[in-house]
Amino acid sequence: MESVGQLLEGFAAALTPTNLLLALIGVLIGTITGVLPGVGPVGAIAILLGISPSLGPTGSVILFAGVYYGSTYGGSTTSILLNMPGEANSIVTAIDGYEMTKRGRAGAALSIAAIGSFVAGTISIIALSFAAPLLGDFALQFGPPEYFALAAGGLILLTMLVPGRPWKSIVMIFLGLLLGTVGIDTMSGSQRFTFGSGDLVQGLGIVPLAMGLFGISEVLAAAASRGQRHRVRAPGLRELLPTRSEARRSVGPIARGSVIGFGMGLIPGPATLTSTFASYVLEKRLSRRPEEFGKGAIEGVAGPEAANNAAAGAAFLPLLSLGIPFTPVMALVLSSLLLNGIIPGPDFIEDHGDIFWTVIASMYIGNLVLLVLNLPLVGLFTRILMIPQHYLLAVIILFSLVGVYADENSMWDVLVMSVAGLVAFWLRRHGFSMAPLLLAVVLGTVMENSFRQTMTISGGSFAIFLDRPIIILITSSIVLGLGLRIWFAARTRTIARRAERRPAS
Amino acid sequence: MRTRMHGWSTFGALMVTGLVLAACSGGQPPGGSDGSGATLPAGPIEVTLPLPPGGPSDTVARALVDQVNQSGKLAGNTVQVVNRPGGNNTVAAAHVQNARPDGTTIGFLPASTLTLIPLLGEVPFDPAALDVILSPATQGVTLVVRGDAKWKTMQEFLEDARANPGQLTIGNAGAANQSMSSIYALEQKAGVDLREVAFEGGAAAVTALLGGNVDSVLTGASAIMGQMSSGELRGLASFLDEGDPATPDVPGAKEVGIGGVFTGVNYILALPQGVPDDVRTTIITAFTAAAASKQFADVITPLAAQPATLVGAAARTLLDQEIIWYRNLFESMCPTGDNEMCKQWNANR
Repeated sequence: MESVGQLLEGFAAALTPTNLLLALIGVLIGTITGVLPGVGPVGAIAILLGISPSLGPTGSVILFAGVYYGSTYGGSTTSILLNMPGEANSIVTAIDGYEMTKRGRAGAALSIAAIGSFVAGTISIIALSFAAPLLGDFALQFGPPEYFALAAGGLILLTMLVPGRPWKSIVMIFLGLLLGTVGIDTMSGSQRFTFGSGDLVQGLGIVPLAMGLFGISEVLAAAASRGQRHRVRAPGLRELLPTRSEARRSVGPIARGSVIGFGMGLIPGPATLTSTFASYVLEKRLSRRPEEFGKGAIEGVAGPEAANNAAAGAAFLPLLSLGIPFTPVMALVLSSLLLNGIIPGPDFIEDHGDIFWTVIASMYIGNLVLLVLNLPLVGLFTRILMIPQHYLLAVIILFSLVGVYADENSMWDVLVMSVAGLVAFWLRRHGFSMAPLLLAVVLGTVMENSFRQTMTISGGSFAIFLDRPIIILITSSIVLGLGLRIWFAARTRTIARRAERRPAS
Repeated sequence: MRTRMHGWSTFGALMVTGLVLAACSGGQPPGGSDGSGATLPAGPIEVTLPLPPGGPSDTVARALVDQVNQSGKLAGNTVQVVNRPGGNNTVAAAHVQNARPDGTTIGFLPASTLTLIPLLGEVPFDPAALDVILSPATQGVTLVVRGDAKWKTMQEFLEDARANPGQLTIGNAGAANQSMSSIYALEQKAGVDLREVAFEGGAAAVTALLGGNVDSVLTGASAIMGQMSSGELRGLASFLDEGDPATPDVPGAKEVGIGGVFTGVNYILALPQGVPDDVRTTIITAFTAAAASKQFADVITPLAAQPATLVGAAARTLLDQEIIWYRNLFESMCPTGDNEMCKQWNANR
């Protein structure tokens, strides 16, 4: 119970006016960067890094943590309202979230996303406060062979993600794998599919691809149909809150999503992303109404949103307990500590307990502030849908162009986004969905690199995969998942056949 | 049908907007004057960095820029770091070369961008055409193993490697980069054959080492200072000839008999060709003073980086020496070696 005392001391330090103000400013900036398409936490924190030396180590981390989880919170807003995920982690939310918006349930989707984020955020902070020293080594269990299994398993899960014809998902997955290879190959440093172009050497970034495939193509589709096909209705004031049935249906997904998100968030790289669609696929399997998924099922918003927020909290653990930043945002937090003369390592919690506990306490406060801030904003955000479409589309394009440029200060990214938008517009007209394509770009790179690293380490022997318990665990859950899928499909067919026969007899 | 036409023209207009924006950025700026009496234009000065925010280079660059801003020597201009990552650092180098030569764009580049990378393939800029003005800092790399590894010294590690050729693995942050060239140089110098594993950055390599997936890692010491002081990792050798002042317990390359396998990660500041002399002098003065300041040293020394103040021709000489070093390595290694770097070197000749 020593840690409870330290946590209380942390609260005392976090509640000083300066630290409280920093947490508030952080979550506010975070919410704004999350809501604006293309502008992510990395850009915002990189700008704030300049004032880090004057804030001191504790103040910097409180501010940056606020920006980070604030942006994860806000990230779902554009996914749900406009079908524009600003980052890979909210792609899955867009699938059912935007369908809910089309049916006039935008308010309910945003409220559930906010509540789910709050619950998941709180669960992951509690886990972080009491299990940090125990869980630190968990990430180290994952080497290249495990990453390969995770990414390959993720790709298999992908084929189950999207409704519609499986062959169309598979075509998109292969297209994604192909696009992911463009640029400089990490493992050899040589160029692939660059055709001598200085621009293609940079590869195709995830942010410009995501914004083009989802956002720009959505704008083009809306413009082409002149607002008739895609007319989205802004919900009235009474419709903002989830109905009792929607709330009840969200409880399970939020709880399961939190656990999946936190567990997988401890593992770097592809895991956070995989956790969002692992949650989606799980909810679809468990649901009594799987046919509603892809057509606006609240579970498809609640689960993945809880998962990505729980993962955001868990991401701090490897940095604070091992001193290793696994994500770009954590690299920036590390950088702010270094600029203040603090070098995090395995002894960080022991040596700098005051910083650790103050930051943890500020996370509890920031998370509560986010809920209080976001629920009233739901009404305001849904008003966006009342803007006449010809203005709204122009504004979205403007924000997208500025946002995608600002992400890496690259005009090439603007071009990638525009072309991706055009291609996706055409593909979507022909019934292909973009989520498998984009997720395959991310997972394909991880899968290829980790496979080649594994083969180098083992000297070309596949036996390395067999003596790793985690791989056996991952593989068996995938086989189980696939088996259940086939069983469900077979059962549905039998039921359908029986239903057909009954009226005949 | 009208509906459809309307839609197509709308997005046609959007595409035109995109293309116009693209053309603006790609266009050549007007050539700069070389008359004297010119001053820095008011407004922000961009320090272009070829790496994403958060890494060791980024931290060193930001510490330097902090000092320039605090010194007030460029009063009226705020200096800011702008990250333009990608393409093995070549995107940022090309951006600097094509920037308006009025002093508002300064490149902060690892020297290997101008020395190693152009030797291995086509690059979208001319390394000789950049105006190299200063080398403000240099950083080392260290070979580390796990704290519980059986090798207590570099000698033991190399003896084991000699006895078991191609068996010991060494992780590294990427493939065609400077530290990989030092691994090859080590293999030549010590007569060993290691199995190189390229990772997606230093953090991934260190994670694999801590998890027991690779035997050793060669990486910048800044990322592993915490692990070395807690005993999770053991530094066997700093590849700097005289050792790294930030890690006095770790022997230098000369002490363990592998001197000359590493040139140091030398950072350089570069301007586009044609910046007016007065402006150039103002910038050099401000950045040299910042690099020489005690505050800069205080921030970067714990990151295993050391301040340097090689101005103008001295910085250019540093680059020339690096190029000779790489050429010597490739010419002796590549006729028989078949590693990735040699493949690119041979293909590029």
